[in-house]
Amino acid sequence: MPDFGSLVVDSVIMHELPHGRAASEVDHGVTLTEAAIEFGGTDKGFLESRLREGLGGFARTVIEDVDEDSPTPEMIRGFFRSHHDPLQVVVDHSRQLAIALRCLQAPVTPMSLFLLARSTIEGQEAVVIAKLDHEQAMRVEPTTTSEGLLTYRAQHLRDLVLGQATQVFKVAAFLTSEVPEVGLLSGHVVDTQRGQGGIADYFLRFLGCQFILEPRVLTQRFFELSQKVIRTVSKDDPETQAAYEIGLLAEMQSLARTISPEGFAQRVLKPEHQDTFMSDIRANGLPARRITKDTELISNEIRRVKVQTARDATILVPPSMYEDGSLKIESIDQGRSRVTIEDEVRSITGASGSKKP
Amino acid sequence: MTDAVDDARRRYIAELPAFLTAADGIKEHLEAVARLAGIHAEIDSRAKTVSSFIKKLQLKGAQYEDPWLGITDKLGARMIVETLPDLMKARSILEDENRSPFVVKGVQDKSADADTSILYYPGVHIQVIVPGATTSDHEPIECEVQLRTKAQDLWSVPSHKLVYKPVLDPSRESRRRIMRLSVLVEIFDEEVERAMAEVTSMPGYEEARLLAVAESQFFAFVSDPGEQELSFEVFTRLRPVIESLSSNDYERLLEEFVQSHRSKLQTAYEHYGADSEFASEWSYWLVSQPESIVIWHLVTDAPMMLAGAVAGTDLETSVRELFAIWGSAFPDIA
Repeated sequence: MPDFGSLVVDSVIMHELPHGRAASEVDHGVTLTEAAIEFGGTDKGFLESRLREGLGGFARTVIEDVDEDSPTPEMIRGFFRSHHDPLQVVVDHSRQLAIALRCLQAPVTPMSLFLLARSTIEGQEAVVIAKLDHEQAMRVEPTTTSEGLLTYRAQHLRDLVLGQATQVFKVAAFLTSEVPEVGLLSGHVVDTQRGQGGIADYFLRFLGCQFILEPRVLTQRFFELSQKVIRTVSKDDPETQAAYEIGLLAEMQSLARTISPEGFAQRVLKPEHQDTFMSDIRANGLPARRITKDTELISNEIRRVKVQTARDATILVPPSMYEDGSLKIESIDQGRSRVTIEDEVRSITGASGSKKP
Repeated sequence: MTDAVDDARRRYIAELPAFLTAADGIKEHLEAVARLAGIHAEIDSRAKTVSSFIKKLQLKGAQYEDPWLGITDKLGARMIVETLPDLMKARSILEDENRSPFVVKGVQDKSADADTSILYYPGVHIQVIVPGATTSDHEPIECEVQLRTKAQDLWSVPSHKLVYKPVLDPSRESRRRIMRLSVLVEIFDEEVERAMAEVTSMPGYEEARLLAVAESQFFAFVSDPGEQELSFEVFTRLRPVIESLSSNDYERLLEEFVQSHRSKLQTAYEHYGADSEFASEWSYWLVSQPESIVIWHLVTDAPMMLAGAVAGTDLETSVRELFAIWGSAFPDIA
């Protein structure tokens, strides 16, 4: 993943998209602007910090989806390869893309702004495409009443974008090195997907891209990576390891449709292990905040807690037995632990195991 | 000269290149010990010159059953630290088999062994095996590591010349004069230790120390010192996070971070710092403060702990801006 903290915006153009979907490209209804934005004061720096935060915190890698009939990939190629005036290219391309997006967005989509920014990321040319939803807020200014008394005038504002509390919005970045002349382009898109068929899927279709990893693969990677980190950080602490493993199984078995790695780290891991966990999550390209959960590939591995001992004893226990205290793992001394199971014994049978060497 | 003494002489001449290589090796290992201890130390090492080895053979060779083995300081190293607590930190690592790079063969500490009424050499000698260093016949090369405070070293140098290896034998009075100076060294080191303990236990000491660490890096990018009172308040909140990353050597961690992010830091301070348009924006006040460099380090290495420390406090908004500038999102702390 590129360092989005290095993002510098060169020129930006915005077009206003009315609410809902356009009936056709001819009747698009987009208020098309004709020139790049003129920045003053802290404007450009503020926009850059918001884009950096969104991309750096939540972007996932996407690849061109040849099954999607979107003009965007070809436009992005043209953007990098064009020999015309770069500013005019930004204007022309952004107008066409804004219209394409209006034709694809959901019928319930509120009024928003389409943004295209010619930028650099890690020193290389890049194009950033974003859709900024309007936010509401209130402006209060001191004033005086007709009687001359000091008071405040309150004004309801409806046309704000990129407020400080807005971390996730629809934004994509394409770097020139990831857009080959021949072959599929790749890029980075902030994951606003709220499950399959979610309301924001149209943004991905508009980009003509798909996420490299499907939810079932992401879920499997999250599960396997979590187990690896748990084994590392709790290597000499069986009690902590048990608590973490149970927490992970509970996360995977819960009815929630998404997994939040950040939330899991906070709920299950001790503070001193949370950053190691999240660092590995990011290093492996997994989303920090939301993974659409699909346990198809790991269904067999998340049914029971497995306790394996040095002398080859194996204990399989439902997670609920740990949670209600029926399974206890206590450290005794010199790396040894005591495992206690409290339940009604139904049967004891012979079973296969690893062969003696 | 006995055969054994002459054999030792010939052998040392033949093995000198291995000892010279080992001298470089032990210096690197001792530098690693100093980094691990989080202390500043002046370290040097040397293999005895052939003439020095021969002189020692002539003086003491006959006393040893095996002169080659008897002369244990063929390779020597000196680690000069600033204070007694620093000396104890280095010594504890050197003697800890889990943390020391060396196998320790013996420790000589006259402060622990000598009678209380006797003046003695103030310093610790630790005999170690240099990892990976051997003679041509695979005998491990040992090194005598002299561990001293600066004050002890100050005393040791003249005493070595005048008492231990004099051109002429000093008189009883001269010997006594030098030896009794060792008491001043002992008093000096102990008074420094006591004063340090008093200062470090003062309220705000740790925050002030962290501010000094931050400033030492921050001033490479910005000349404005920031508001000290604000810095103290921020460091009070960040201290547990910083201490969880490094209990004794945060200075080195921060230095490494700055080295690997120098260009990004430069850009961030230029675009959002005290000389930028953002200087008058309240949400960005932290960028003009020295602690910003520490916060960016924590955004990189411990974002969850950092967010946990500031979430819900007055600092959260400003820290969020530092996350955004850095290209990172403030973790969603429940």
